[in-house]
Amino acid sequence: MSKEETLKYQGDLCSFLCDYACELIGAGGSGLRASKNVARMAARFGCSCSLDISKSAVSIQLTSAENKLCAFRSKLIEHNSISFSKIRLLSSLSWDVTDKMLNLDQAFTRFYAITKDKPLNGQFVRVMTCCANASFCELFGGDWLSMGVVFVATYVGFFIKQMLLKNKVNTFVTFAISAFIAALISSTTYIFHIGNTPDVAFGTSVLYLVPGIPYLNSVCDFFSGHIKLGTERIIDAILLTASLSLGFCGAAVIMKIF
Amino acid sequence: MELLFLLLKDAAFAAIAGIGFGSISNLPKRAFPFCALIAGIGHSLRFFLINYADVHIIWASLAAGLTIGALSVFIGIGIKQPAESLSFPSLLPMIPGMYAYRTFLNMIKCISTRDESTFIHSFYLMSDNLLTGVIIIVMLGIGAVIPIMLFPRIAFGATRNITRY
Repeated sequence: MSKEETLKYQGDLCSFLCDYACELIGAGGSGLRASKNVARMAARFGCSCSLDISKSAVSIQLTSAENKLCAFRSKLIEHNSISFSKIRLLSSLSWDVTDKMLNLDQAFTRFYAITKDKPLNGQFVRVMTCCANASFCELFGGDWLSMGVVFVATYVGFFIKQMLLKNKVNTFVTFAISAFIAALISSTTYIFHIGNTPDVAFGTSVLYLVPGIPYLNSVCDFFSGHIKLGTERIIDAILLTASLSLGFCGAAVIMKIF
Repeated sequence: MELLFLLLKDAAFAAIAGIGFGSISNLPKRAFPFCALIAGIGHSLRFFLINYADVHIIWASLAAGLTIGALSVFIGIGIKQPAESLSFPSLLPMIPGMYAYRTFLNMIKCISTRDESTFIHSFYLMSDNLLTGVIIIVMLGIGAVIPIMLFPRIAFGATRNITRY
């Protein structure tokens, strides 16, 4: 291979690894997993890599072990939607590149198919989330009637969240509106004296919006040395929590609950 | 017998909460039963430690986090799932949402009162809930990450040679 061809190949490889890391971080993968997977694939192609990962962008420098030629790519992470299914498939791809010696074209074809991985059915997710939040209500000492109200509040709130996100409304605004609606519905437990635990129903009705995965991910990132990624993730999670609290407090003030 | 019933009830509702919140994060359907099992074990362990062994919620959360983390690593290798995809949804029922709720509730009370003693009491409750909530999240995260750090080859090798997508 001529030097130009080698450079082009290395550039393509670097682009692929950068796209891969962006997709993995965007799907909620930890910084440790992303760096390990990328390093594993780079080693298969006879290169070493340096990664700079943040929540919004990934930069990668690839150095060939053979001729010390370097390639550099940087890319913004366009979408952040957590998908454990995608994390699993992307991790599997990194192993297959190493174990089955996939070439760059084969790896890119597999990668492209993974990026098109369909999420779970929206209606199924809504019902599951409602069941989860109603269970949450029970775990905090709520009675059956409170659980029923929480189920309905979650269904409506989550449906609105899905609709707003689909229409590309700002995430923080979406969380605030969704929490406001859910809290407004659950406040009926106070107004119409439904059940004996209206406080639990009101408090748990917005808990489906608490960004638990980003909180846990950020702690993992901190302890694995990805301080920048961890900081960005935790600040994002705090802002989302503040947004949902704003919507929640708005409903509480309007309904004169406090 | 009553204790067993309470533990099973707690585990069942935690399992539903775990897979329900996991589904928002596109958890693979094959992982649902295992995730429910791990969430149930972790949450009922914390329930037992807090209510019957008089352990503080912070240390109980660490114990539950460690248990969930370890189970996720070893079950993950069997069902070819990354450890995080089992441990994170299982930890979600233990995320201190009610502490966050009480933190903001007391913050509003702080802002809306003009009485000094009410302000001080609300501020105390706000700080208490905030600190406990933050430390619980950190403990859960540490609990989940320690098994991954201790057994990296197992944890990161779980997705090797997947035949069923």
